[in-house]
Amino acid sequence: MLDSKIPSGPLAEKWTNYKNSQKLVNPANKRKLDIIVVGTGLAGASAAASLGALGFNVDIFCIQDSPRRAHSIAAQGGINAAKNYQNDGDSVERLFRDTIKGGDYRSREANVYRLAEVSGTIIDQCVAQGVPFARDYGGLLDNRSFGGAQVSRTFYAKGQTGQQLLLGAYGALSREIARGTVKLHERREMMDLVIKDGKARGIIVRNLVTGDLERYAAHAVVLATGGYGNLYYLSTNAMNSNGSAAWVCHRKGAAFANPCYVQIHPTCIPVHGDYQSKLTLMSESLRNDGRIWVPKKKEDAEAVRAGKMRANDIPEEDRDYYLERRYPAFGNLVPRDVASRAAKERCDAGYGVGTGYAVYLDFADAIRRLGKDAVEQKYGNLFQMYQKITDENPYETPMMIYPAIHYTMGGLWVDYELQTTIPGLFAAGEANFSDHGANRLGASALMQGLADGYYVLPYTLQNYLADQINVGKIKTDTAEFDEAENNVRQRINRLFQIREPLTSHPSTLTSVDHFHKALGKIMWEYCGMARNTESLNKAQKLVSELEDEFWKSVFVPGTANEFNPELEKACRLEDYFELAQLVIADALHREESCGGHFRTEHQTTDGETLRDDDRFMYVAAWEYQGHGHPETMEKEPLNYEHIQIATRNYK
Amino acid sequence: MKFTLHIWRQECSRAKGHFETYKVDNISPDCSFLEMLDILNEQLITGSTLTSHLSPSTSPIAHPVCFDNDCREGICGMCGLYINGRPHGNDDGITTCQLHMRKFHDGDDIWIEPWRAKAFPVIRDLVVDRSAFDKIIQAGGYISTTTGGVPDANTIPIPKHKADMAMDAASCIGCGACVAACKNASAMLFVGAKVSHLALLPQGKVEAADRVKKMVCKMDELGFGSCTNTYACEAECPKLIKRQNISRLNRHWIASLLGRDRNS
Amino acid sequence: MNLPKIHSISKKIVVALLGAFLSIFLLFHASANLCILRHDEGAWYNAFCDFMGTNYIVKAFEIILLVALLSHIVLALWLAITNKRARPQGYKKPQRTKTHFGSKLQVWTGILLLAGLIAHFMDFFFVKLGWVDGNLNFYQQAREKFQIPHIAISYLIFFVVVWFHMRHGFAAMFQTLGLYNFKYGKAIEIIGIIYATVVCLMFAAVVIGVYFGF
Repeated sequence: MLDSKIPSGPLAEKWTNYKNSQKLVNPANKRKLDIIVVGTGLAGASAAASLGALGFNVDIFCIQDSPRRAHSIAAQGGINAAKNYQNDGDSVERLFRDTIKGGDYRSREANVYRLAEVSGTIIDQCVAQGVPFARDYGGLLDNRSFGGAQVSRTFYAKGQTGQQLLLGAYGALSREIARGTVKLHERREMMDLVIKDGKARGIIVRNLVTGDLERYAAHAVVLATGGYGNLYYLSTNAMNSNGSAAWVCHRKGAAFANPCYVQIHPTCIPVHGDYQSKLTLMSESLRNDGRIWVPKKKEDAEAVRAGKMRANDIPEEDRDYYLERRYPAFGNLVPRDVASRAAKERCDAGYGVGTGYAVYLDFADAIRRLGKDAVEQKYGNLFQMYQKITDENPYETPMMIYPAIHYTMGGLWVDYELQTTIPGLFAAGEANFSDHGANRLGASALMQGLADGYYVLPYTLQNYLADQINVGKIKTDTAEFDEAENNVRQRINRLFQIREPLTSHPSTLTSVDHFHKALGKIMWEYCGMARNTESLNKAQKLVSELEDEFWKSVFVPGTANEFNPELEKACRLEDYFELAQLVIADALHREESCGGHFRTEHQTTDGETLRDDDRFMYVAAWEYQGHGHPETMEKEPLNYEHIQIATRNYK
Repeated sequence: MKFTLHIWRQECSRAKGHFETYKVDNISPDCSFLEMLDILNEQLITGSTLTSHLSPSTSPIAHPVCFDNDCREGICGMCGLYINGRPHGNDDGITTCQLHMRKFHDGDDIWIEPWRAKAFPVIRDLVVDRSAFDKIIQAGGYISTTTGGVPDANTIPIPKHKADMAMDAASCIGCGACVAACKNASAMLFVGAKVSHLALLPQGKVEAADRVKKMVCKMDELGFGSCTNTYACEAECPKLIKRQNISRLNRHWIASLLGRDRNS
Repeated sequence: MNLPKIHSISKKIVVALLGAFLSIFLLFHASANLCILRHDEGAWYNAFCDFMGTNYIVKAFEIILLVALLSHIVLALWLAITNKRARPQGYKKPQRTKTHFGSKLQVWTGILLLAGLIAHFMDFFFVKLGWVDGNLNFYQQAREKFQIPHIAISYLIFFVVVWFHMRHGFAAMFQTLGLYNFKYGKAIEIIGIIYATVVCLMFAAVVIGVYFGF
């Protein structure tokens, strides 16, 4: 039975009550306790820095060459906080309500309220660390607005907010590394979780430079390894972002919640070729000033696609600003899932531009209204990025954008303390499922990562570790570690065994990427922005066929004992096959539409999501039953005590 | 488009490296440089006939070319190749992943080398170890705060132009192009950017003198060269960080020698 | 051998300060040289040289100047050697970055200048010290030497090298001393070029003037 451990009391006092009654570890005992943090993004770096500063011994791991490379760095737009510096009616309550509503009433009330509650202090913390947030001429902090909100509560640092926040956390982490409380292990990939006496007690990592398997033990393990968006191959995630660390924990017994909630970001640079390796995001903040449209007449759209007409040739009255038309109250600033689906709807109806799968994001009005300089000041680096990729000048012709996989709301199931179903294993940031429900609002991911790392884990981990002070150092020469390491070794060997019969017929060699691309295509096509029973069944079949093919003909060059990126990719893809099946199974079982999960069978007459609160107002937490076996599901009912449930309406 | 690639191959840090020549064909001009390398690797893995592997190789199937990359949108700082005599290739204000093949001519010869510096040893092929940058930051490239107990964010107003200057300096992505471009393999622009970012803000002033001392000592210790004012770093910085930051670093160094904190 | 530990930036600051000192001396030297162009049989110039050769304060200054020159050279070479070591393995492809042209030449122009300087000292300074035989009437000496075409041309080439070295050195000095900023950067560059040009033209004027018999 899932116990979400939500503290008692009125919503606004839950977190305070928790902190007042939780167990603490005294400073002398903190030195005796080891913690492993996997991942150095906003959640991981901030957690490690905070825990190190408290006095725990922390080991932190990242797959890149430096903690500063984690993909949090690529977040552009900003971070939300209920500061109400603009005096526009913002409050903790309003941020909480916007987030719940944005998540289509599928998130846990208590977690979201806590997130909103600590959001303000995150900004204070970051400013103290030297994060150069944008300021107005009076020297005070500036804000802008983001999708799904009617107030300006987003703090930003040019178009590089994620970078600056991560560098702030990286600075704090570096300080702890210098003080010796945190040890950094870079270019290491977590391969397995070690469980002893039912508690998470360590991890097996692969040293990506030498290929050695290494053992690390601790009293608790924190997973901050991000989401699994790269399941779709083409996504806005970094090339190395992957779901494997979370997946090996799932295999070991951690429940995986709401895997089908995948966010599709409306403003990305459209796909342009088979060789493409990733999609580039254009910040949501662009929707502050940019207007989204497609041609009103089909023949114009066809002419544009054929290259006979340019965007600027289409007169104002022949443009369809479809978001402003459909959602007059929020206009271009509707939440991401709504904007994405609206774009898909127009393109499917034949009004798409570019390759047919693109819409315009036009700044002509903003440039007329504010002047080119002001627009450049706000979005200069994004415009430059766009121009470098597409070779088109967005100051003169409208940008072309199309939705792409961006973020995964699903993840490891965690309770109020961010602890998974394995005692001692915690999950933070995008790796857990807790705060965004079925759809995440813009500028909330950064807020959640930092809230988990700076303000939640340092408390809840102590509550867990208070019992552990007499356990003593965990040893790595035990049977549990031997077994885990052997499992990893076998997994790797299995990948190399496939190639033995292949090398004599070189014509049959197929690369890992080939399979990954194929998997991504299946998922995007049949389990992407819109799903239905038929497409999902088809996906299920295609994925298992592809997996069979993978085990017959994937070719991994080199050996296990060297720097070998192909092997890394193969290990991750192996996990994606299982994960894909779970995403599909979850999408199949959830016979309603909510947030990022859109089942075509369940929609209103004008194409909006149609929830089924009576049957599906719960978190679906899946448990692994072995390879090839359907997973079992446990439900965590969502009880809304504080908030009035309504239909999401942005009109 | 067609290209002849000359790529540095080196099995591990101890091995001796050499250049190998490869040919790629049918490359779209909209393809990014790293995607072009993906295509090459795909060909190397599948042994496709499209690649005529010009130099003799001992193993029948060549190991794909290793190169660091991650976000592929120019912000993580992971990628970095020395392409035809320029770090990040022949364009300004970009990283390698933002370089597109349309910047080359059909049939070009392209030389691809790893960053070369004593402080950045080669790990494999085009992958180098840049942990020296982390060590410099660990020496003092931060403001010492612990979580909690900080004042409200709007307590200290910061003049907009100062905040903007700090932001410009802070946009460094730590890719190492400055070191790769510098004839002395100097890390002055990297250190200067971090020192400037923090020293320009009131929060960072408290530790400014101490910070500059520790970071510069570390930089020297790690075997980076010194600045001889060539400004190749400035010309190649993908984030267009300016040499004025090096000047500010020098100024703060002098101030720290004289034992006082400067007001930037 | 344990060399004293001096941090890279400190070394550069000393090189820059010494460079500034030497640049000022060059202006002084060039102004004095202009006296050679007076047709006074060397009355002014030789008087000046006499003063330089006998006054104890000036003598002390001379030693400081020499020490400064040597330190400038030693520190700069020291830096150059450490800088070379920072990249044990070079690039195959020559650099194509757009850079400040003077800087890459700085060590080489410096070494050329050292060679030129020794030749120059053989004609004048070492003669004065009595290390080398020669005419102690420097006015006459200058007037004779500068009329020999290859010497005049060598000197002119020497001044061109001086120009390059100073032109880069001037702005670089401001940068190294931390005085180069967004506001005055451009101005410093321009003043550097003007300063180097004026000094070198003054030197060259004397050689050209004497050669053409002014």
